[in-house]
Formats: sequence, C-alpha cells, structure tokens
Amino acid sequence: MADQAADFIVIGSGIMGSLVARRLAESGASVLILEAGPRVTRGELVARFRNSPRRSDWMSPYPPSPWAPHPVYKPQDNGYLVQAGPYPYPAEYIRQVGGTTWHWAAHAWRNVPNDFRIKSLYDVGIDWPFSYDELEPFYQQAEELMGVSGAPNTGSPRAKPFPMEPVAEPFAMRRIRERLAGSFDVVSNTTARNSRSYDGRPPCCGNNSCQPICPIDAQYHGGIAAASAEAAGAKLLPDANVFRLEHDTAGRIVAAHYFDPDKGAHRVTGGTFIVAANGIESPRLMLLSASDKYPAGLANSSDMMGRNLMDHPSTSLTFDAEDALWLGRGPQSPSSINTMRDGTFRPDHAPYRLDFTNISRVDNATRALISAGIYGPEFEKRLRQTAAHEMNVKTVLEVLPHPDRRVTLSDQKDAMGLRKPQVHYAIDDYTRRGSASGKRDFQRIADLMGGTNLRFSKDGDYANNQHICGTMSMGNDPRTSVCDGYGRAHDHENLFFASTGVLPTSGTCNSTENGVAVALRSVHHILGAVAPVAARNAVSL
Amino acid sequence: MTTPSSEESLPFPPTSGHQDKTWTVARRALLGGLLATSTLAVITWAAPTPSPTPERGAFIALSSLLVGRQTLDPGQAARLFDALLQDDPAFSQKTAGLLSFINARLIAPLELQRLLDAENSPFATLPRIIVTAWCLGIVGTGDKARCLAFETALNAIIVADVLRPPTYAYGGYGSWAAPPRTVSTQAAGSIGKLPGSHAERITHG
Amino acid sequence: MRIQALLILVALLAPPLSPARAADDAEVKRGGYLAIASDCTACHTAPGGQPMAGGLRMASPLGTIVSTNISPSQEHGIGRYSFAQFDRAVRHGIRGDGARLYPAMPYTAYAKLTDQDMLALYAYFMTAVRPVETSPEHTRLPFPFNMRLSMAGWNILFLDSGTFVSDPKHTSEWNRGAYLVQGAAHCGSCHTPRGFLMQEKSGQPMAGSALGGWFAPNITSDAISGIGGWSVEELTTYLRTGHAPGKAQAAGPMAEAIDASLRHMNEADLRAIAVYLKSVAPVRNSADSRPAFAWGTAGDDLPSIRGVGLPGNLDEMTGPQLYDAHCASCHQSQGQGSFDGALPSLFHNAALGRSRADNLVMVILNGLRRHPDVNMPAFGHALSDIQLATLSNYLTSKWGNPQTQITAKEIGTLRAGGAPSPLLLLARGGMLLIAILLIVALVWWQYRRLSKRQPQAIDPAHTPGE
Repeated sequence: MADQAADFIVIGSGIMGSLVARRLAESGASVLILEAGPRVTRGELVARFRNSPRRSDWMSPYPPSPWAPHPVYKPQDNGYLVQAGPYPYPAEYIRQVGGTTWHWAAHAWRNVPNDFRIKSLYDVGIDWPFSYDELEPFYQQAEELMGVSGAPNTGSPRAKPFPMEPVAEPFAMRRIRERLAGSFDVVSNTTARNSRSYDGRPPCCGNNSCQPICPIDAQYHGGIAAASAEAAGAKLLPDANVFRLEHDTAGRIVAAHYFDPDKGAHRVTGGTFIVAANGIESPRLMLLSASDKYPAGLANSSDMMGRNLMDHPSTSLTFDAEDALWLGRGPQSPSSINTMRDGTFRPDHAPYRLDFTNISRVDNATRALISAGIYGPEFEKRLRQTAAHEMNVKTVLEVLPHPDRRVTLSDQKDAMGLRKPQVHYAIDDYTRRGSASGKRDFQRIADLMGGTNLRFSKDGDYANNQHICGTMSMGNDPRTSVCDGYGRAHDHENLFFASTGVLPTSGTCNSTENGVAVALRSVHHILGAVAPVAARNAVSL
Repeated sequence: MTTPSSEESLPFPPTSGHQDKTWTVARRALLGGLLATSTLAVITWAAPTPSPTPERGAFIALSSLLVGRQTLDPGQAARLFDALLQDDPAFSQKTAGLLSFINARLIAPLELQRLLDAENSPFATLPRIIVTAWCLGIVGTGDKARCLAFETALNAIIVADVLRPPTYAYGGYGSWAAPPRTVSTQAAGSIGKLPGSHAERITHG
Repeated sequence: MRIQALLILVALLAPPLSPARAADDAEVKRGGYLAIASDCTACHTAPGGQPMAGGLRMASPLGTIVSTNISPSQEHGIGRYSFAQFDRAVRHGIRGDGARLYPAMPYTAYAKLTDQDMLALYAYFMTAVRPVETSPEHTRLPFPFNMRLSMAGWNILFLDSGTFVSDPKHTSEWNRGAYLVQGAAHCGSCHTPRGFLMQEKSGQPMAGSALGGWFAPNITSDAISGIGGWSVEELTTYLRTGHAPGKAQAAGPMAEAIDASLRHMNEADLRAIAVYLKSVAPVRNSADSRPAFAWGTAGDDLPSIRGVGLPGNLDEMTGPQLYDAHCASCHQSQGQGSFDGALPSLFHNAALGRSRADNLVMVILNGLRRHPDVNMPAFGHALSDIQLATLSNYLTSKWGNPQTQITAKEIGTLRAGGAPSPLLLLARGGMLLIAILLIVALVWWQYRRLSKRQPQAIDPAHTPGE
C-alpha cells in the first residue's frame, strides 16, 4: 500500500529539485516533493544568526534535525560525514526545505565554452555529453528564474541580455579595480542578487550577510524555489527522509520509502522519480537502495555512483591594503578576476578564478586582537585599522574527476539507523600547480594594492567551497557514467538526477547555475519525451 | 577628576607615587574605569538593573580598563556580569584579584597579557574572557557559548560610523558605492555621528 | 510651470467652446494632463495590460467590479461616443447606452470638472489614446446591485451635478487646489467617510474612511487628527514622492495614486492641492491625542533577547523577537531606519501613530511598492495572525501610539480584504428592505432639498484657518 502517489516524485526540495518540480507542476502533472528536513522561515534564520555565539560559522543558524542530520563542525564535528582521507572534505550542506542555497554568495556563473571539452582540447578530465551552445538557452532560463545579473564579458557568450543590470559596485571593489587596472581585469560577479525589484523581491540593501542568510530575499535561494513549486501546484512533504527506492523486476523505480521523524516508514509511488538530494545524499540514497538485483546499489552498474567527487579548493592571501577600503559595505562577494578560467595552460595546471571578498573584517579582527592580548585604547585603534585596510583574495581552483575521490557508505549509522555517508578526497598535483600560479597572482595583487602584512594561506592547505560535483556524472557511455546528458540513469528508465552531482567536471565556477541549467534541460526533455501531453501545457517563462 | 566622596566609594583606590610611563597610562585607564564606576553608581545603577555592589563595580572598572572605554552601558554590564558569574562562581573574586594585581603593579593594558602569561598568573585567562564578552558579545565556550550582545557588542559600536553589523541593511540600494563617510581609520572618539546609532547611547571617552 | 498654471486659469475662465470644433495639440495635451490628474489609468488599465483597455478587477464591499475599456475603440471602447455621451458618462454616471455606472467610477467628483476641461479630456481620449480592440469581462455584482437602475435612485440622492465655481474670497491657488481636490483628483472618493449607502458623507469631507482593509486617513486641516501639522512644502513633497521624512510614507491605494497620477502633476498644482487641503474644515477624532507623526523615539529591546532561544511554538515569539526576525534588518535595531533615509524610521512615522493599526498591518501583510523601486516585501505569508498581532502591538507601543492595539481576529479580517459592507448582508435579506430604505431615503432627500435651496457644491463652505 502506498501512502501517496504522483506522476512525479522529486526527492529533495533544494533549488534544483524545487525548480524541476515547479516546471513539472506548471505542465499540469501531479508532483510530490519529499524533503528529509523541516520547513524553516527566513525570520528564524535571521534571529538565530544574531543570537549565535559562532557568527563566522555559517552553519550555526542551521542546526541539523535529529531525523535527517547534516554535517556540522562547530562547536565540534558531529561526525555525520565520515572522513576516509587522505585529504579532508568537510562539506557543508543543509537538509531542510529549500536546501543549501539558503546560504550561498549567490554566484551564478555559466561555464566557459571550453569547460565542456577539456579532454578534447587539453587532454585532461572528460568532455561533457553536450556543448555550451546546447545548454545556453537553459542558462538563460535559470538566470531569469533566479534573477541573475553580471558583467557582460566574462567569457560565457549569451544570446539574450541578463534580466537585470549588475549590482552596484562597492567602494572597496572600485578601489581594487582601479588599482589593478592594466594588470588584472576586475569585474562584477555574476550573481543571483537583485539590482532592482525582481519577481516581487526587493533590491539588495547591503546587509552583508549573504552567507549565512540574506535577511530580505534580495538574493535568490532554494526556499524561494520551493515556494514557487508549491504555488505551481506541487505538493511538498517536509520531514520525509527517503532511505530507499524500490524497483520492479524490469528495473523501473516504483516507490520511494521514507521515515518520518518518529521513524515511521512510509511508501509513495510514482511514474517518474527525480533524485535531487545533492551530490552526497543522492549517491548515498542510491547505495542504500541496493537490492538482490542491484547489489552495488541503484544506477551503479558502471560502479561510478559516488565517484569523481569534485569541488573547488581555495587558497588565499590576506593583507592590509594601502587604501581604507572598509570591507563590509554592500554584498559579500561582489567582484573577481576571470582571466585564468581558460587558456593554453590548462594541460599543465588547474584554471581558477580569483575572488575578492567584501565580508566585514570586524569579527575576525576582534578575535585576532583578543587572541594577541591587545587591550585598552590600542584595541579600538587597531580594530578600526584592520576593519578599514584588511582585504582578502582567494583562488577558486578546478579539480579534475578521479574515481578514487568518492562518496561511499560508512559502517557508522545515523540516528535513524541509516549508514552515514563517507568521503574519500585528495588534492592532486594539477590543482596544486594551479594554486602555485594563483600565489604568484596574489603577490602581484598585493604589490599593486600597496599591501603590507601579507598572510598567505599555508602551502598545502585548501579551504572547501561546498560545490559538490561529479558523483553522479553524466555521459554518453553507460560503462563510465551514471546518467545520460538528460540526467536519466543509464540503468533505470524512469529515474533522473537533478543535482550538481551530474556535472562531469567542476570548471572554475560555483556549481549552482550549472546544476540548475542542466536540471532545466532535463525537465525540458522529460516533458517532451516522457510526458508529451504535459509538455504542450508547459508554461513558458 | 574624582570627587572625594566618589573616591570613598572606589573599590580599589589608586596608590600614589610612581610617575613612570607605565603608571601614567595605567592610572589614566584605571581612573577612567573608576570614574565610570562612580558615575554609574550615582546615575545609572537604577532599577531595573541590579543595584551596584563592589563586585559589579570592580567588573566595570576592570572592563573599562581592558576595552579602553570610560563609559560602558550599565544594562549590558549587568547582563555580562551575571552570565560570567554563572559560568564561574569565582568570577567576582578573580575580577577583584586581577584589578588589585594591575593596581599594585601599575600595568598598562597593552602589557597585561604578556605579563600574566610570563608569570603563569592564575588571572591569565580572565582578560580574554572579559574582552570577548564586551567586544564580541559572547560568554562561554563550546556548547556553553552564548551571544549576549550583537548590535551592542563593542566591536559593532567601534565601527558604527562606517559599518552596520551583518544582516543589518547598509542603506538603500547602491548606497555602498560611495566612499565611506569616515575616512580616518583611527578616529577614536568620532563615534556617535550616525543618527540613532547605538553610539548615541554609549558615549565615548 | 507658472505659465502653464496661468494658461489653465485662463482656460478655466474662458467661455465654453462648441464641442464641434476641432481639437488642437495644446488642448489634447491639456486633456492628457487632466486624464493623469483624474487617474483614469489607475482603474482602467489592468496590471500589464494595454492603457485604458480596462479589465482591472476591483474588490468593492458589494462585490468585484471590473473596469471597462475606455480607449477609443469603436467596438470595445468609447470610440463612438459623442462629446455629449462622454460628458454624461464622466460627469453624470450614465453610460453611452443609457445604463447607470456604479459609483466606483468617481463621477460624483468628476461632475466638478468644467466644460472646457471636459472638452480637453474628450479631445485627448479620442485622438491621443490608442484604441484597444478587446473587451474585459463584465461586472457581475450580486443581486440586487446587479440592477444598474438602482443607481438612478442613488444618483438622485447623492450626485451633485454642479460644476466647480471658483470662490473669489480665496486666492487663485486655493481655487485651483479646491477644483483639483474636489474634481479631477477625487480625493474625497477615498478620504471622505461613506454613509450607509456608500455615499460620501457631505458633512465631513476628507475626514477619513476605511477602504478594503486600508484606512484613508483624515486629511482635514485638523492639527491632531488631520494634516494641520504638515507644512505646505511637506504635503507637496509627499504628493510628489510618497514620502515626507519624519511624517509618513504612502502605501497601498495612496502609493498607487501617487505613482499613476500625482507624481506626474506639476509642482504648482501639487502645491495648490496642499494649500487647499490645509483649509479643509478640521474634523477631530476624539480618540486622537497627538498627530500620528509625532509619536516615538529611538530605542530597542534587542539586547534583552540576545542569548534567549526562540520558543518551540513560533506563535509564542515576543514582540522584540518578531521585530528582530522580520523588521530590524531594514528598520534597524532602534527603529531608526537607514542613515540615507531610504529605509524609513518607525518613530515619527504616521503608520505607527494612528489610532487604528489598519494601515500598519496592511503594509506588513501586503508590502509596499512605490516609484522609483521602493519595495517593502510582503510578510503575509511569513507571519500568522497571532504573530502579526503581537508584532503590530509591539511596534505601536514601542515606536508609535501605544493606545493602538489590534487582535489576531481583526488581523484575519484585514488579511481577508477588510470588513464586508453591511449593505450586502442587508440587501441579501430582501428587496423589501431595500425598497423601504429607498423610500425613506427619498423622503429624506425631499426634505433636505426643501430645507436647503442652494446646491451645496457651488458654495465653497470652507473657511481657512477654522
């Protein structure tokens, strides 16, 4: 007996699952979204941030729910994401309605065209199963849904203009752009942040808390996507932690089984299943769904499920600029250098973006001064000095797909008795050589900014950016990939993935827009091929 | 600087004598703190905040010295003191002890931590706890950490002429494109120009 | 601008022209200006629709009224209207086919328009508005209001068909203001209280009126309840921008009126409106003890909630907690707004200082949109009625009029679009009752007509400084 049934069962209510569900619902299909975590309101998150004793831990407003935990590392590691090494991969993600884009810097970049052909062009990584041009209309759709703006020429050609003008450039970024002019081309970031009222949401007011929460929804996020899916008629069931997909003898998926918070088991049936539970939880679910017919887990005849885990490691330089920049006025991540995203160097080392932060330095500087024992009037003087002059630039480096970087199931179990996800990760020489190139850029940038007190991140240390890619990689060959170019599992005709996990390579840009565009392309295909009647009713943008 | 009557109420009257630089700095800082204590005792320790006690007075005096401010918000002082006392029942005694130590040795604030560390002083952890409370608004560590001030944490107040605390709108769209209104990065005492900012309430020395 | 005002004045004083003569460019332009001043587009252009093509659905206490196509389309609009038919529709509420208009169309105000202005308006509509060849859906009010003939009786009672006559005792600026306020700008349509039969109460012009959940405030010259404490400059600024710092911001229907109409009017006319409003006979609401804008000072309770967890049941959140979660990001921790004035302060803010919380709650529920891209988001989806009652009562006690309190039940009513008209319930009770009412009303009208020979509209009954 099934508790519920729908034409489409979408697992995960993050930005990709919700936008897919919205499109499907707009076509007239019945859609049920199963979300492992609870509903949460923006106001709660804002209040929790202001009351947080760990303001720099952006996960602190998002405590995990016991029935659907996610990894947190402060005040101590909750041990949910098991580290198998050799290099730690402390991924952060959020299991609640709307998913992880509740906190992001809203970077919404397109790949550059050559990112789709790095094997052919540079003999590294793999090629995507389709070209930039094939994805271009879906990039545009994604940008119109999310409300994206950016500089016009960052190497990603476009057929139509951005839906709005770039967000006003903070004074600090202007000074950086001016001082680097001639050596580096500093441009406004492409972000899902309003420069004017858009879709009923207001323009940015410079709250400088894009992470962990935009308090005014000037920044698009999965919570908005989930609300739009519900408005379109999709049914959203929170606190429904899917732990197994059930198949029939032909290999078609017939049902999803979930636990409610009291570990009551439920079963929902559907015609087509779309797994959109991020690049770690999705492969985990596939592996948890192993059966006699599929002992290695679902969609895993290639043994590629969970492999090729990629992200964007970052190295950084913090220094004191000559100018009083006063970071913290305006959005957190407004400007970057994009000239190293592609080039003839790509056979040799990782490409990268160089990203300038505009996050207020005040809290960090305060902690540093307290740590150094600076008390009395000197405290105030130095705090203002640092708040005004300190700046930071970081690399956002490409990682190549490698089967040994992967997500598996741990032997440890979570509170629901389900095996925890386990990650195997490493930084290879290709990425290290990219960071060495980035370090030379850091030095030049510091020189041009009249920088003093240079503090490079430690050699060999890489910060993580939570851009989980590759674990359900798409490709044309079922022996080497998990799903086809439309996100359909090679092994199950009615199972699709909508996730950054399907991206075959990581490129140099934050993965969300790529994931959304690919998911919208999948939905377009689903409505055309799987539900042609519904497709005729599809509501256009 | 202080009236005799207020000196009588001082928990730790300064000793006289040395005129070296250390003393001068320390004395200024200390007197500043004591002045704050006495002023608060007269003016602001009114209901609903708890009535002043020597322990609270010592906390404010020490706080004033550590954060380099002569005037501190009494309500905030009370909340922080209560929380710190809750975490450590000996907090009052330690505060008094450290204040005596500073007083006896005429230590400048900038030298304090180095000295405490060098001497393995039992008070070595105290300044960071107090400054963290005032400047970050946070009391306690790990699971027991809690935020008792955000908008009124001193690190927000100190830069309030230029920056809003994160989550607070800077202004209308694009208002951040203009140069910061305060160009000086060392404009201690320049706070309080922002209409309606907290700086109006917590005056600056 | 002064020349323009002068020309208008000259036009006002000139003798009526023959409707048959050809319109010139200047007249069409003047007609266009009058169409803006009359805010025709507010009702006759649907959001995203063609100008003057109608189709806007307006919730009225009697049911939904759909505006008509008034573009010069021969088939769907007013393209076949003669000037006489146009005039009858605009100033008398009688459609080209003889049917009666509902007074959602403010013809009782437009009745004040001069013949010259009517000609200009006609010239504009016939030559400068693009014909739109579509028909919006028809208005279908519930019985008995679906019988448009019932409006004939209403018109006998309440339509004052005299055009505006200037009062030589006042300045030309005052007269221009009076003409605009009573006529084209039809301020009284919202701001004058309506009687039992939805008519504007003639005895209390501009004394304030409820309107679909919103409350169009008292804009008489009373210093406490009205706009007596506003300077002419402040009023003019408000009419042009929707914002008078330290006084009020326009929201809801007033924001729409400013966006579509008032901000396009010339400074002299806005000033004239302000000058006239400052002379409207004061009406004092006994509940008001000080001007709505004169309440509150900076101050916050946020330190008191730091370190305190949110309750499990979010309906139990306190006022400061709700303020922290939803409001403080923009209005700042002490309610002081942003340094640049772009995000308004909550003290010295009429929305929090009135003796009723309707507008405050409506803004929180529905947000506020105004030119140029003023956008307070709506919180209706984020706050329950209980939370909103807690929040509203906190806001008024903290920064506004502490006497102003509201219950969750009342918020539910506002969320549903305001209190329904008693008229509807009554009317559904039976035609008999309506008939009796009409008879009573007609008798009353006869009595009034006999006892008061002078047509009231021609008499500028206002004494400045009263």
